[in-house]
Amino acid sequence: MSEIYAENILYHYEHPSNKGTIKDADIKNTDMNTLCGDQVTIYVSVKDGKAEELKFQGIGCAISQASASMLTDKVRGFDLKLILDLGQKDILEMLGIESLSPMRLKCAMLALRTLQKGIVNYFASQSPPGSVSD
Amino acid sequence: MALDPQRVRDDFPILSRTMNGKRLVYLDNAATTQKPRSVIQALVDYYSNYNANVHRGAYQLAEESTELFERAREKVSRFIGCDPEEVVFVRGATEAINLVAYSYGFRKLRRGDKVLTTIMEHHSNLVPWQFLRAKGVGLDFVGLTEEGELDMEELKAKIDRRVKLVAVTQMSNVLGTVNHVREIADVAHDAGSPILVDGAQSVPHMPVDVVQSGADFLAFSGHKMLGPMGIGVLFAKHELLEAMDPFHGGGDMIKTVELKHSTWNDVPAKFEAGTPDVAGAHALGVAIDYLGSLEMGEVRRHEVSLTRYALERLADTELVEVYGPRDAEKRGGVLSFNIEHVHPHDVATILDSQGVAVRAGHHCAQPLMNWLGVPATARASFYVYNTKEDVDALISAIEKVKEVFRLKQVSSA
Repeated sequence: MSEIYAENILYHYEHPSNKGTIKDADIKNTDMNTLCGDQVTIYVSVKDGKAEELKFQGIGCAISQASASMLTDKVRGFDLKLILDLGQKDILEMLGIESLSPMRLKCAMLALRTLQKGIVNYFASQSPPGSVSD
Repeated sequence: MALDPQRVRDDFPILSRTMNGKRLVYLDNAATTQKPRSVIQALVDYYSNYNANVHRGAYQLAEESTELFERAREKVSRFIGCDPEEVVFVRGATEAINLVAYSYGFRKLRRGDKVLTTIMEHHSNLVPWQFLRAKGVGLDFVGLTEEGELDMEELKAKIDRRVKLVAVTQMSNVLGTVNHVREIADVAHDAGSPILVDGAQSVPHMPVDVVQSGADFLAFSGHKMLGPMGIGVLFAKHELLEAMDPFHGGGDMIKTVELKHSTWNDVPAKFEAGTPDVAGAHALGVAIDYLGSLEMGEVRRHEVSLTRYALERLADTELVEVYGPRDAEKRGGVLSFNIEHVHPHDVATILDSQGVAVRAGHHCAQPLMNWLGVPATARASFYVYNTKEDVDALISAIEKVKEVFRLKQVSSA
């Protein structure tokens, strides 16, 4: 079990990338795992439909915080729609972990879920009221 | 006779399991306890030999089933020192407290009345009272001393005639703090308020007598005291049960039913709508027999001695902070702690890899986490089958956490 605490996870937990906030971010979303109290806020500035810059703030376990750190590195420059397509497999691959218990999987997935909800809200706010999108 | 945990262990089949290749060291007893063979057998025995619905059939099997159910009620009543008619079977402490919130709170409390509780409560002794706010009932809270004990001065300052219920835990499921229920009950009664005691953590671990403690309501769960999940108890004084409205409507709780009107059955049946968990009640009775054979005073002594040992060992362990009273006599066998720089979830995961099962999280006590100033804690909690070797295993596993998180050099510096 402790093999999930590999070098890369501990490194990102202790030295997180992109920790901070973005003033006037286009996307800002906070979510938490109510069971364990892990919390992540993700900030994104968007340019031409792409995630130009990402920052995060958070408290929680090594898995949730390392995941946020690595994710904000990974998806920089990604088309927002592409980020919505990411899933569990991509996160485990990113973390370099083969499998996690359901409880810990929630920790690992928190950052992506928070970002994806933020993107969905962003798209919803972009479409003018009453307009129909396909 | 002093409790011998090694002998007790032989009665618990699950304790011979291994976990991740290691001996299972089960230290999550505040969440639920393991079951002795006699309790497991009681469930099998009930369904093999006695299964029939209670209080209905005029045939012998139904009578035998009813007798087992009512005998379990008697065992519970003797265990806490009340009359059998004052024992209501429910699903657990949570349902018991919700029952009081609805059947007593909504019936008896009015706009401007107050429920006085504490910041150390489990969510199950907080959220049901929040429901009453819709009726204009106020909520007030007693805080804690620096060591995590209830601030009795604040309690006395906050109680007044508007307080119509004092709701307090007898033992914190996070800090282990044992509250002085007798003293709190006297303060409540002097102000004309009844007191509800959340006994989920106390009834399984120490002698509890409702007459001595002065409790008007006492809620507890079977599964935290060697019994099965899904059965629990609400004790309430007879006159309170009489004055309260029913909780659930349905079969068994009525005396007469017309199309638009019904009358209620006598207590406690008035509060036991529908088919009860007869097997669970029977098995809870067997769990009480088992605890009785150990003697509750001995159970308490065993846990105090184990807690004292654990507190000493943890105090010698660097980078570990333990919450709650330092004196083992003032607390139950519940130890919440944190390791510096490591989130409790990571602690629990690595402890698990060493076979040590602890809980990590907010323990359904978010206001208390805020008071402690931490998002979560790891928690080890003891019961009758835990040994000093289990505490040693916990300490070694904590060292393992420090190793994985590379805190070892720091600790030996």
